[in-house]
Amino acid sequence: MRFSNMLTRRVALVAALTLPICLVTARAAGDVQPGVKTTATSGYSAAALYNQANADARNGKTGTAILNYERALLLAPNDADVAANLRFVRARAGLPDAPENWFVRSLTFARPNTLAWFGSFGLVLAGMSLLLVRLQPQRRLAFRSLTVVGALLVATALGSAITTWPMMKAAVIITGETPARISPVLDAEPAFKLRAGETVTVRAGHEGFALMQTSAGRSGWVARADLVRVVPQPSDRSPSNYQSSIISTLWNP
Amino acid sequence: MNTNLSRFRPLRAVFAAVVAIAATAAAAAPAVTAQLDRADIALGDSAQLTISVSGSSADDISPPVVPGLEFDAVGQSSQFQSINGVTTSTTSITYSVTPQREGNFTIPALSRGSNPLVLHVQPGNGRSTAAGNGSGASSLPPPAIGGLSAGETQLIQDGAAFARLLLPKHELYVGETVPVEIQVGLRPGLVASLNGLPTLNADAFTLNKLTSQPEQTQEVVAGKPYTVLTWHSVLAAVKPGDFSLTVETPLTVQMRSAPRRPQMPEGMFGDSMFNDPFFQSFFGGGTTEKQITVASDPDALTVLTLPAAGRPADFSGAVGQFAVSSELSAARTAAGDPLTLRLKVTGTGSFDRVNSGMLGEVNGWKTYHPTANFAPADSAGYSGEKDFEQALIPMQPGRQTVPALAFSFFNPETRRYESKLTTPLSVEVSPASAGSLATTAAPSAGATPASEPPRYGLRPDQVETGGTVANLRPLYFQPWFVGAQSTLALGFAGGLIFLRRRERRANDADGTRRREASGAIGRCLAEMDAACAEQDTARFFESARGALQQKLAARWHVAPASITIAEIDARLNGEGGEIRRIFTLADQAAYSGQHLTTADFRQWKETIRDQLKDTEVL
Repeated sequence: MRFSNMLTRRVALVAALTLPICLVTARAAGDVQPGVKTTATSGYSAAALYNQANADARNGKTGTAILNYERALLLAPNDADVAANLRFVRARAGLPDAPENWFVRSLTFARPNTLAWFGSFGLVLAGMSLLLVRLQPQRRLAFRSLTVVGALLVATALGSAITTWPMMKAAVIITGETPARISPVLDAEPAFKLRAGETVTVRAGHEGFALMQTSAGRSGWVARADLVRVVPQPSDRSPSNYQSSIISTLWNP
Repeated sequence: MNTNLSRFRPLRAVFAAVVAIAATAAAAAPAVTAQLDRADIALGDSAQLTISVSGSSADDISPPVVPGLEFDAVGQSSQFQSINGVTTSTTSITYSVTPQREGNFTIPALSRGSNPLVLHVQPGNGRSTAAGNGSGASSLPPPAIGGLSAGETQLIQDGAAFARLLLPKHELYVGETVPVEIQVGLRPGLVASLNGLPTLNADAFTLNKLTSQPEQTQEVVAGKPYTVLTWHSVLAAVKPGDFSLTVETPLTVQMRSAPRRPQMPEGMFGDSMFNDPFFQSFFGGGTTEKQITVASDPDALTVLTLPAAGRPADFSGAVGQFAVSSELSAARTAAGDPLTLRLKVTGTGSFDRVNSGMLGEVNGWKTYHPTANFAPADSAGYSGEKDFEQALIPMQPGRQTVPALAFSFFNPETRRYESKLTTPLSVEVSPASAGSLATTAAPSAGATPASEPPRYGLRPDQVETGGTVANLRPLYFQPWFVGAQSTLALGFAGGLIFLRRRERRANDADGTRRREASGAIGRCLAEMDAACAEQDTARFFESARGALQQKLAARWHVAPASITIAEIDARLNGEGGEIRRIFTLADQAAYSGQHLTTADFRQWKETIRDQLKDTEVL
C-alpha cells in the first residue's frame, strides 16, 4: 500500500513536470511546417528570404534586399551565403558592415530557435536532476553532472537571446535619401539623410514616425513608411506593401 | 425737344435692355437641342452626342435612356451671348455614346418640335489592333509564350480602368520563372494619369523590372474602348504555398461632380446668371480628380517545393528547359599557355539560378574560377544564353582531354531533374616554350584560382529544403514560450521546496512530536466542547485529561499514556494541583456518574485551557 502511494505520487510529479513540455512541443509542431509536400500560405524560411533578397539585389532594391538578408540571417545565422551576399550588397551600396564581436560569433553556431529548444531541454534536465538528487541521493554525482549540463544549455540559450535582442529593435531603411527629422512631424527640419539599406535601431514611435538611432549614434525621426523592422511587429504593415513606391506620371491620355 | 429726346434715348435703351434681359431670364422656356456627330459607327467605336440647353444650367441636362447604348459625359461647354441687348446662355454637354450591340438605335427627341436621332451600329472587329508606340526601352522582342489566361476583367470606378494579370500556368515550382503579361486598361477621358508602375501584391513572387514605356493597344471591353498598356515580364516563385496573386497600379481618374455654388450676392439679374456652368467652371466646378488604385482579379497560384528525390548533387536551383554545349578557344596550344573553356547554357527558365562551377581540380590542368555572362533573347530575360568562361592551363604536353561538363536543372514540364553533359574536348598540347611559363601566373586580369571562393558578386540562389516558421521572432522572445519556461521553472522550484521541507520535517523529531501533539490536543478540545454541549461530564473530563496528557507528553518526551497522577507528582514536585485535580475528577466522573451544571462546565473549560497554557512554562 505504501509502495503504491509512493509510485502514484512520483508518477504525478513526473506528469506535472512533463505536461508543460508536451504543451510546448505541441505548440512547436504547429509553429514549424515541414516544407516538403505541404504548401503554406504564410511563413518565413531562410532560403526563401535569401532568394527573395537576391532577387531584390538584382533588381536594385538595396533596402529590401538587406532587410531580407537580415531576416534570413536571423533564421540561419551561420549561413555563409547569406552573410557573403549581405556583405556584398552593403559594400556595393557603400554601407558599413555591421561589427561582430567574439561573443556574438560564438553564439551563432546554431539557429536561435534551436538554441531556445536546447535551453528548454537544459531547463528540464537541470530541474529534473535537482529533484532526483533529493529523491535518490546515492546517485548524487551523476545527477549533479546532469544539472551542470542543463545549466550550460540554459546559459547558451540566454546568451543567444542577449545577442539577438538588438535585432528585435532593428529596422532597415527601404527608401533612398530618407530624411531623419528633428521631430515627428512632416514639416520638421531634416537633421540628416539616410541611405536605403541602412540598418538602424528603433527607440520609440509616435503616430506615423519612429525615433531611430544609426550605428554612428545619430538619432532622428523617420516616417514609418520609409523603414521596415527586421522582426515585424503586430502593428506593422504586411511585408508585401513595401514593394515599390514609384510615383511618377508615365502616361497621360 | 430734340435735346430732351436725345437726353432720354439712352435711358430708354437701358430700360428696354433691362426689360428684355429680365424677360429672357424669367420667362423664356429652355430650348434643348441634340446632335450626333455621325449616324453610322462600328461596334466598338463611339459616337458623340451633344445636348445643348439655352437659358438653363447643366444640372437640367441628363442623358437619354436608350437600351443598348451607354452614355458617358466627356465634356461640357458654355456660351454667353449678348445680341442687340438680349443676353442668352447656352450650356452643352458632350456624351460619348457607346453601343453594346449592333443594330439601329433611336435616341428620342429631347424637346417638343425636335426630331429623334438614329444611330446605325455595324458589326465591329472587337479588339482593334492600333499600333502601339513601342515595346518598351529594350529592342528585344517580348518573350515568346502561349496560353496566357486571365480571370474575368474587373472594371473599376464606373468602367474607368481595369488591370489584368495573364499567366501561362497556375502551378509553379520554387525557383521557376514564367513569362507574364500585365495589362492596364484606361478609358480615355476618364483616366487622367497613371501614377506608378504595376506592382505585385504578394511577397512570394518577384517580378522583373517593368519598363516605363509599355506597349499600347486599343481594346473594347464590355462594349467600351480602352487604351491598354501591356508590360511583358517574368514572374519568379520564391517560396512554396498557395497564394492569391494580384497586380495593382495607382491612377488618377476624373469624376464629374456637382458644381460648387459660390456665395454671390443677388443682384439685379437674380441668381440665375451665377448658376451658369460658365461661371461654375470658372469657380472650379465640373470635374474633380480622384486617386485610386486599380487591381486585377486575384489569381490562385500554387507553388510547389522542388522534390528531394532524384536531386543531383550539382543542382544549383535552375528550373526550366536548358541545353548545354562547350568549346575550347583553341585546338592546339603549348603547355603553360592559357586556354578558355566556354560552357553555353541556352534555353528558357530561371537564368538567375543557372550556375556552374565548371572544372574543379583536374589532373594535368591548372584551372581558374569561371566568370558568367547572360545574354537575354527577349526583353524579359526569360530565354537566352548564359556563358561560363574558365581559364585553363595545360601543364603537360601531349594529347590532353578536357572532361565533360555537367549541368543539372529541374524541368517543370517533365517534373523531373535532368542532367546534361557536354562532350569531352581534346586539345593537342606541345611542350612548353620559354615564354609560356610566365603566363601561368595570371592568364587574365579577372581570373582567380578555382580553389578560392569568388570574392565579388552575389552567390547563387539556394534550393529550398527547410521548413518555414510562422514568426521571425525567436522563440525565447515569444510570450507563450517564455510563459511555458517560467511555468516549468516554477514547477521545479516548487518541487524542490516541497522536497526540502519534507526532508526537514523528517529530520526534526521534536517538531514532528509537537505537531502530532498539537493535532491530538485540538481533537481532544473539540471532543470536550461536544461533551459540554451534551452535558456529558465523564466524556468532558476524559477529553480534558487526554489533552493535558498530550501536552505534557510532548513536553517531557514521553508517551501520553505514561502521564499519570503519580508521574505528575514526581515531575512537578507537588506543583500542578489543578492538573492533578482534573485527572482525579476524570476518574471520579467515569465511575460516579457525577453531573456538572452549565456554569460548572464553562468554568472548567476555562480552567483546562489555562492549564494547557501554563504547561508551556512547566
